[in-house]
Amino acid sequence: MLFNSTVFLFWFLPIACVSYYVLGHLAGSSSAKMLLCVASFVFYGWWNPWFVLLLVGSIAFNYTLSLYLTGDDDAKPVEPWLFAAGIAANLLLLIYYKYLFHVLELLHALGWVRVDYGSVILPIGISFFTFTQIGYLVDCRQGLVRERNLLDYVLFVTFFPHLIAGPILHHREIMPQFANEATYRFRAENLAVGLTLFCAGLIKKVLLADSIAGWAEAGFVNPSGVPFINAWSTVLAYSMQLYFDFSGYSDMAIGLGIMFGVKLPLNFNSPYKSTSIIDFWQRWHMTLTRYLTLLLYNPTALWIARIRQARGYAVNRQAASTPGGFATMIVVPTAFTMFLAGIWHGAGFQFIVYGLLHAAYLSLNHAWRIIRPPSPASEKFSRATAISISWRMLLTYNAVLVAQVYFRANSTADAGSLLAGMIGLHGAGFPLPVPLGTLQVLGPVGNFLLDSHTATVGLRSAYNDLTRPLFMNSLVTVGLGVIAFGTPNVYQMLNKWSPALSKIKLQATTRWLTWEPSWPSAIAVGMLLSIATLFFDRTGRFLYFQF
Amino acid sequence: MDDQAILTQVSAILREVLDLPDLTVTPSTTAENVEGWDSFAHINLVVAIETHFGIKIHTAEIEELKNVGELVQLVAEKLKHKKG
Repeated sequence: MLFNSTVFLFWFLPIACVSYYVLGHLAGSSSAKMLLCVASFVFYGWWNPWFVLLLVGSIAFNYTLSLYLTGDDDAKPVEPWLFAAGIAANLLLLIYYKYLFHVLELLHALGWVRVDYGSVILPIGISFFTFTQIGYLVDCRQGLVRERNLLDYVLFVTFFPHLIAGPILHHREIMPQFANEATYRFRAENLAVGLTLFCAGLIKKVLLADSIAGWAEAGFVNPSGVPFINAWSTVLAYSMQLYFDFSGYSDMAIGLGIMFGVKLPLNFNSPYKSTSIIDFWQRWHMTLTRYLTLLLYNPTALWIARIRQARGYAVNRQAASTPGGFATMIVVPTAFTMFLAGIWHGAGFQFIVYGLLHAAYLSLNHAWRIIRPPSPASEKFSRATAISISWRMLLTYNAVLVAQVYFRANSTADAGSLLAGMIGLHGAGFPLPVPLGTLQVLGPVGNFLLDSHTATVGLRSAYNDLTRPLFMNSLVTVGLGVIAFGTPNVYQMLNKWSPALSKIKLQATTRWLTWEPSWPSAIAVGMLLSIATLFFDRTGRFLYFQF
Repeated sequence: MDDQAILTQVSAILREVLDLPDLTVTPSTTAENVEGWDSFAHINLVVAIETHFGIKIHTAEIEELKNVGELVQLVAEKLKHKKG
């Protein structure tokens, strides 16, 4: 079921929400939990009922294993192979559905494998629910699991707001909330804040992201020979689409969580306002960053640091400024983590390039920090700091943009072609706003413009029907850019109600942008919701459903 | 060793790892409000603390810590186990 569908908003959500609180009030929290589990399975099965079996199987397997890993008596040591086999089983499931047939197809195309094995349907959300459970098993192994209630566990995995595309939860922040009786008590504030956040996400998805979707796709579908202006406009449009689509989804998920009295972790914090790549990953898909740091980066980096320590090498900032120290302490764990982060997004070399590009960016960022340690941020606003911040934002965003080309392109060759277009190797592609004859008055300059124009006219024939919308779509992209770069995010506006779990402290906004439960805000949210419903059921999916 | 003594030693380690000699550390100090205390510095801090106190900290335990105060608590607990 999609959040932006009639059946979800007008049937599923009201029925689930009302019966949840009624049951919680009349029959107690266990019944409410049961109801929420059933509702979540219905939500999942709506798309393809057979895959519910897969979800149930995965939960049953992991929960059983977790019981062995957290055995009550300390005397019985846990077999390390049991833990390893459990993780391997989860990864194999992921490999089967996400990678195996892609790789076989690739080998078939190369002529290395004779038989064409075809493909398999990707069970929606499989990476997300597998990741969540691997994290749980790791904590069981390290003896950090305290809540072992079956119903709480099933709910932690299946709770429908996060089931399909995150935020990626950690059991320690969620299972205690399900165990808490207060969660099941109705509070009007939760409904108001949750609905507002849901509405903000819905608008981001159906009005903002989808408005630019066709344009964002054009250049990626047919990337050969895309001229300068078209390459930039398609890539910028995609960048905006991706942000509004995924952050919109996350806002809706967090909003829905609050409606059921459960607080989910923050997933986006105005990422395009980042002033460095390290900063970017602390603001973009934050729960994935947290997950990767916890399960890949920290163990690898710790392992390396302990080895260094044991061999008598230093493990501080100075040690990292030597070439050997930098390579082992920073580049290796970063590249390892980001390589896997890239592959997680899909089977294809473009995703590996995406991951390794970010690894390179992050390493450079760390190198820069070692050479020039960040000075404490001064409170005073000056023109120099404003220029420095804008410059760093621009640099960061462009680095992110280049990586996003690989992220979206169908192959590394396609990405290369688009990037070539972006640096002008395929001509300018400007739709000339003046009659061609007038250019002759300009002499050599005019001839140059004319040449680059005629050179791209042939290539542009494919884009001819898009030339007219170029202006409109560029305008929309710029508009979205203004929102992404220049306005406070919805969590800042709702800051007073702390709608999401987060370690960072969000900056408060001006008073007139601060949300209050009042008639004007109720009317505004109602109106926005009505407008959004006009755009329901038009687009099938969210971009992150493919992961 | 009492908590105050541990805090003093942890503070000294933190100042050295972060290369910030003037940093004032209190139990409520968190990574978010110290410039340069990133994932890399965090790993160095853990290894330095492990070596200094002769204890071992699990990866997952690191993430549970909200502030320096909780880190001191964790070290104190581990030291108690070590003796007992």
